[in-house]
Formats: sequence, structure tokens, C-alpha cells
Amino acid sequence: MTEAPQTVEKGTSLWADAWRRLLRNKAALVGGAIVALMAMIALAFGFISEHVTRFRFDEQHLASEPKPPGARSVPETHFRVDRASAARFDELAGPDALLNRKEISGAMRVLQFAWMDHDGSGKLDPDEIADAPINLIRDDAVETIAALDLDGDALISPDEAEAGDLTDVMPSSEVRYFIDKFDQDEDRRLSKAEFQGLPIPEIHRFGTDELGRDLLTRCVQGARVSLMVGFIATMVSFLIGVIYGATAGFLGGKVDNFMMRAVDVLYGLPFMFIVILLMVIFQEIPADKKLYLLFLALGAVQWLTMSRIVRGQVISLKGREFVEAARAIGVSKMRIIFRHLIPNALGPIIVYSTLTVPAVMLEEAFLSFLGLGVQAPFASWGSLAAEGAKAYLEYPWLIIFPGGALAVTLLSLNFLGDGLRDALDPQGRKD
Amino acid sequence: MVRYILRRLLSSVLVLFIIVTGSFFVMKAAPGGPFDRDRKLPAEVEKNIKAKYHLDKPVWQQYALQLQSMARGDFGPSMKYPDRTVNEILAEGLPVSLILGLQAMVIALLIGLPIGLLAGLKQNTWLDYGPMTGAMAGVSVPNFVMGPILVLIFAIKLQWFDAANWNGPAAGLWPHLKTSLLPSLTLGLFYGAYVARLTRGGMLEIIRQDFIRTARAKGLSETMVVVRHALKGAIIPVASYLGPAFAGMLTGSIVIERIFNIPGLGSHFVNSAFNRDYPLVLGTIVLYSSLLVLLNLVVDVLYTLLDPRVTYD
Repeated sequence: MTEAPQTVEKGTSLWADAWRRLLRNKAALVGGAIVALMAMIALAFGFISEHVTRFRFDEQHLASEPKPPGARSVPETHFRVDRASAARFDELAGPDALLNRKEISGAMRVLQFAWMDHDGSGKLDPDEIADAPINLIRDDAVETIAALDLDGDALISPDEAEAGDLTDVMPSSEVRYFIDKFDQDEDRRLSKAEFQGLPIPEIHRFGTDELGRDLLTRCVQGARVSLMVGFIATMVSFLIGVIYGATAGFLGGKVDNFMMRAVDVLYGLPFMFIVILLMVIFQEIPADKKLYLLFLALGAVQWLTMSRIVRGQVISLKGREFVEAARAIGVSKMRIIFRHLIPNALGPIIVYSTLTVPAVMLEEAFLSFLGLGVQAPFASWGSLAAEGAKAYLEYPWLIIFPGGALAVTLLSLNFLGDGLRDALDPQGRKD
Repeated sequence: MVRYILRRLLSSVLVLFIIVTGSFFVMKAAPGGPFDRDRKLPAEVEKNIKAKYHLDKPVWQQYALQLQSMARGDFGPSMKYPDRTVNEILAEGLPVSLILGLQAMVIALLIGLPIGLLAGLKQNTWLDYGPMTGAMAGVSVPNFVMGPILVLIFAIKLQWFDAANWNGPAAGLWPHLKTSLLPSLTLGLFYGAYVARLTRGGMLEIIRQDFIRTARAKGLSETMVVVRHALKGAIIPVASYLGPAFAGMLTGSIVIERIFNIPGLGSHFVNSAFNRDYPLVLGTIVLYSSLLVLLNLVVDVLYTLLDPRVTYD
């Protein structure tokens, strides 16, 4: 703590105290760290998509069903090339000295097979199949071997792998995409000069959905949307609530009475139903505009309690001497509200805002579950988990990863909010 | 008290009026209508249908007609299911949703109150930290994640319950619980966790009060102190949470009904909004809102009984 000495004024000790209390709360600190980590991941989405997962969030890899974690596909845009294979061009291309689709696909199979064949024996044994992150292995390696092993030697030869699609890592559409990228003379074939090497398939660490989209990339993109909705909608509720509550509390009298009666009436409204109705009605508007509607709608649900808290704070502060003093020297009402009352009422407001973020994220997830939140190809954790909930028995990873990310983040935010409350507002602990 | 209740009922009518008016005009402002088909209907047919449902009249006139029939308690015919009235559809779905909600509430209180009381009494022991961390997890797991987890464990692995559908209490107690316990539990766990947190907070506050010290000082047993003196005060925060909890359960039941394939009101609400089935949307909204308003009133009255310091006059 190397605070500058001249800041020893009324507020400093309170905030320093609160900070010390927060530092002692392990759960809150871990929660804060996890939230910060999630926020960083969300912000770095572009980088992660390009350099870590190497899949775009909306690229599809044809498959008949969702692939489990560990499956491999060749990314469409951000693939790396295997430089070593460039040297083998003559051998791959054959007498015409050009690589066509079939040859690239075949070469990829050979390459994939060689990667899976750790001991270089030319055949895959059960251990190697168990390690191989490819599509077909859903159950244990023994079953896969039994299904593929045609000659009964308990090993999978390249021919058997091919027949059973064991190394089918690059469908024809992806080969076409790969050729398009390097084919300068546009003859749909790659010459030796154009060929840089075979593309390397990347692992779907969280598996894929039924359209073959990489779930990890989508979860990272979902983090962005979920956190953005949470924070922006909270900000909306914060702005409305603070302005409304501070005004009512400061003006007092009939105005206050009327304003708070209006809040009481609004409390009686089943807000989520109105939000659902709104989202259904405006189903057809463009996805980005709908996101704004979502911010507004969810923020509008949450501001009521905020305005009550702010009002209560302002009323209790209003009679204090420093406000009296400010009024006595002729400070304007607006200035008193924004410079003296709000900063002093900040503690409980910060606490409530922190706890609003998970509430809003939960509501967003709820709307997304009903198909009313963010729209494809964009996703939030809520919409991803909602998709996963449709067939969670067959493809559990589709709900585990996004649902888990959502739950962990909400848990962290709640712990952080609780810790902040203990630190900033020790008397205000009600639950 | 009577005056207070009357005043609240009056303001409830105002709230309902705002809701009906708001929803009506929002729906009318939205693109699309209940009779949009892929293939366009012959002009003559369309005209007849529209005339039947008064859709050919100006909007304000439709609004007036709607209000009139609603004042009589008649929500009119459904536009999506032509041979059924909205009243029939609602009468079918409401009991299902109510049973689901009530069971969830009972579960929430049965789980939340004891855990919260225990945690509050044994503050800063593992009996506090353990359950409270669990409660925190409970309020952090969305119900559409909790539902599948519970189904996986209790319906698929242990096979104690059914994974979906709804038998209803008419089928007998066990058949009813077999289909309804998991959804109620899914819905109730979240609120149970919250109730536990509230109860613990209330308990912590009460147990430090002077009158508790007095009770202990005069030699009452700890059980007596808790049961006779602390309990009532500790559950006051819970009582004030019941209103919002009911509201949350009503909305939450939409999701639960979808996951567990339960024929309640929730599915009707979302579907009717998608179908632009105007009378059914208004019917469900009015029904939900009235329920909510009424429950809130009941909770507030209960509150005065629990806490004599609160008066409403």
C-alpha cells in the first residue's frame, strides 16, 4: 500500500479498508481472477480463433453427427501447412506433375495415418487408435478395431483404415478450398510452384456441433456475447437506476412519492414475459440490432431494484453535514447529486451491479434457450447450451462445455459480488 | 388492512390494464399475422376469416372489442386452433403449471430453510461453508443445465423417474411423482439455494439481537431459543422473497416445461407469440400477470402477520 499521503481524506480509509477486506476473501479473489480470465479470453477472440483453435466460429465441417472432443478437421482459413510434405511433391503428384483433389485427399490420409502410427510399424495397434483424435472413435479402441479389422490380425492397415474412413480427415469441399487458396493459374490443380505442403488437421478440443463447427471456438465467441450482454445490460440498468433513484431521493416530497409509486407498479409487471413477447415480435430484425434490443430489454428489467437502492442511499446521505455545507455555499442541485451524493452512495451500488451481471447473463441464457436471444451464426453460452440440451444423452459435450463455462463464470461473479458486499457494505448483508 | 388490500387490488387492475394495452399494441405493431401461410389464401376466404375475428376493423376498435370481452372473462376463440377457445386452452394448462410451481416452491422451502438455519447457527464451521458453497453453485447453474444433469442421474442411470412427459395427479400419487418430481426439483433447486442464503442471513442477524441474549440468559434451552424466538425473525427475509420467487418460477417453468415435455401454460405462451395467436397471447399474459399480482398481495399480507412492525395503513 503506497498511497500518496495527500489523499488522506474522508473516503480513503473506507476504500482502503474495503480493499483489505476483499484481499482476505479467497473465494472472491479466485472469482475475480476467473472473471478477468474469461474477459481476456473473450477480448482475445480473434487471436484465439486465428492462432490457437485455428477454426473460425462459423466454419462448418461436414459430418453426419456432432464429433466428440479430440476429433480432427482441416481448418478452412487458418490452417498450417506441413512443410515437410512439400518436398514429396513429385511422389504425390504422379506423372502429370499437378496435384488434383483426389491426390491431395489421398496424401492427407497417408499423412494422417503416419501421424497416428507412432512406432512407424505401418499398422495401427489398439493403443495407437485409442490415442488418435479422429472422428470415428466413439467407443473404445477394441470395438473400432473389431469393426475395421478385415483380415483379423488385430491391427489396422492403411487399406483397412481407408475402407473404414478411419483417416477421413479432409472431405472434398475442404480440399477444394485448399486448392483455391494456392491455385494461382486457376486450373483447379496445384503445380509444384503453387504447392506449399499439405494442410495440417487441427484438433477439436471441445468437439463439434452437428454442423461440424468447432465448439471451443464457438465457446470463446460465446464468452464474448455472454459477457457483453451481462456487462452492457448491467450498465444500462445502472444508468437508468442511478439517475432515477438519485433524482427521486434528492428531490423528495411529492415527486419522490410519485416516482417510487411508479416503480412499485412496474414491480408488479411480469417483466420477463414482456421481454419474451418483445423478442418474439421482433424476431425478424437483423441480428446486430437484436443484440441492442436484448441489452435494453434486460437492462430495463433490472433497473428497478437499483433505483430503490440508490434512492435509499441518497435519502440517508441527504441530511448529512457535507451536503448541507455544499448547499450553503450555493452548489447547484445537479452538482450535489453527481459530485457529492452518488460517489458516497457508491458502495452498495457497486455491490448490486456486480450481482446484477450474473442475473442478466442467466436471463440472456434463458431467452437464448427459448430461441429468442442471439441468433446463428453468433452464439452465446446460453444458446450453445440450449442447442446441447436437445440431445444431451448422445452428445454430452455439447452441453457440458458451454454450460460449464456459463456456470463457472456465474459462480465466480457471485463469489466476487458476495466478497465485494462483505468488503464494501458489511451491514448490508441480507442473504 | 382491508383498505390496504382494496387499494392494492385497485392498483392491480391498473397493472393488468397496462399489460393488456401494452401487449396488444406491441403485437399489432409487429409484422406478420395469424393467418399468414406459405400459399396465399383466396381474397374472398381471407376476407371472411378476417371478418370473423374482427381483423378487418380499425385497430382501436379491435382493442375495444378485446377489452369488452375480457371484462366478461371471455378471451375469445384461438386463432391457431379454430375449434377451441382460449379459455379452454388456459383451463387445461393452468393446473399443470400451478402444480409444477407449487411443488417446486415446497421443494425450495424444504431444502432452503433447514440448510440456511443450520448454516446460520453454525456460522464459520464446515456446516456453514459446505452448504453455502453448494447454495452458491445452486444459484449459478442455469436450470436448462441442471435439468439434463438430474435426468442423466435419476432417470437414465438410476431409472427412478421418467425423463419426460406428465401423468398428472389423477393418475395416482406415484405415477404423478414419477413424472413431476424431477421437473419440480429442477425448478426448485435454484430457489432453494437462494432461500438457504436468505435464511442464513436472517438467522445471523437475529441471533445477535438482545432478546435472544435475554432468552439464553434466563436459561432457555438452545432448541427453545431457536424454535420459539429466532425462527420467526429469521424467515422474514424469506417471506419477502416469496413474491419474486413465484414470479421467477412462472418464467422458469417455460423452460422446464419445454425440457420435460410438460403440457403447461409456458409452451402455449411462447408458441402463441410465435404464431401471432393474439387472443391466446393476451390470455396467457393476463393469466400469468393476475397470478403474479395476486400472489404478491398474499405474500405482502403474510408479511404483516410475520413481522408486526410492518403496517400498511
